[in-house]
Amino acid sequence: MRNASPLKKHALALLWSVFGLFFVFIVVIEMNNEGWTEPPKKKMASAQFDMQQVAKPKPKPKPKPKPKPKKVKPKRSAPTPNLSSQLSGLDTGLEAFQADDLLSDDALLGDVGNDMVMTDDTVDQAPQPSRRTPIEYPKKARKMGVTGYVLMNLLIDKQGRVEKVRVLESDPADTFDDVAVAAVKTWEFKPAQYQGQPVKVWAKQKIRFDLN
Amino acid sequence: MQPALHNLFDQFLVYMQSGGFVMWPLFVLVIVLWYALGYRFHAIKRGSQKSVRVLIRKFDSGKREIPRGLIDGAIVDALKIVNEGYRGTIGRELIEDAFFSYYQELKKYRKTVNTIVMVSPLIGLLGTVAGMIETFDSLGSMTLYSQGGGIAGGISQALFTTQLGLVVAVPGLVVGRLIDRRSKIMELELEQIKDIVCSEEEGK
Repeated sequence: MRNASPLKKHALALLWSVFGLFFVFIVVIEMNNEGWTEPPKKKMASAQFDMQQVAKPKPKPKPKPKPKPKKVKPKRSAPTPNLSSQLSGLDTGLEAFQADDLLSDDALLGDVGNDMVMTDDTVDQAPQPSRRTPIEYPKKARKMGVTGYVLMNLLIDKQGRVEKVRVLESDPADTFDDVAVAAVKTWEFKPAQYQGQPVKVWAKQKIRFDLN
Repeated sequence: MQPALHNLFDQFLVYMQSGGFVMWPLFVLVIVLWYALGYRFHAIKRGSQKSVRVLIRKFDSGKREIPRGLIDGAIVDALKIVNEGYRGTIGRELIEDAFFSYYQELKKYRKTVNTIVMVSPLIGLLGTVAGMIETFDSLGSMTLYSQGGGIAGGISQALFTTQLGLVVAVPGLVVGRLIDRRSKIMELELEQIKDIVCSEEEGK
């Protein structure tokens, strides 16, 4: 072109690119600056002051109120679930169905508890063995000097007798299982207690086989 | 001034880091975009403001010699060809050839500007998606409120990139359209010059 050499145009374009870079990033940074929101606040404060002057004949120089520390709301604990209020809108067909009934011994849960099988964790008092029979150490294992353990799950009924036995874990596998199960089946227990009554329970029992 | 500038640079770096990997491509695109816009702005200068017909008469009568802009230059070129004795269809073709570089200059970097204006919001969106992925990753791995990641990191990344993409695109779009309009008008004027010069010479 005649008015400007290509070199000059490219130089000018380079200048523009620097300008554009500054422009874009200053805009973006200013947008995200928190200080950016401050000026309007100041304006509002001065506008309020003017209005007070018109209203009052004697303008008092008021000390600017210091920014109050944010009030920390007292933490509330989550409301305890109120079952009766949740059910209040529903017609359950029951008379005076209340949450309290659920917790009393004679009500729903009590009935269920009679036939329920519980576990070690849920009963008030875990079953205690009251009579143990001695266990014979397997001869083969004794010869080879094998030691180990058997972990079993026992179903103990209300009278304290063992109803069922399941082997959960054994080490070494299958070596001591039969002996341990046979022995445990003859054991007697003090039955587990839940709310003062004996209940059926699944309990864990570990038997160790050690050579002394 | 010095500390303020320094502070600004620090903010810039923090901003770029919080935006993730998409920010630097956008940074490059800003430079290219404004280079192209600047070049177009300086290349597309009309010269005199008078109408094409008046200008042709002036240049023809020898009142003005030195062309100042793109249209002026085109008129001088066209008149030179006509005065050398080329007329009719041959003259028209020769003028067209001579005008080729002008057309090229008018179109230079137009595609670049349009492409960047279209692409930069999309790249910003890509950054947003990456940020959301990070956020949901943190939901999965339970590092929700961890430093430099998690929900806070992911969401700020998501928002920053979209913002930058739009801030790059919008001014580029507006300025680009203004320059485009000017170049379109000047393309029409080049056609006009062709018509006027050829027809006048034929009429004489």
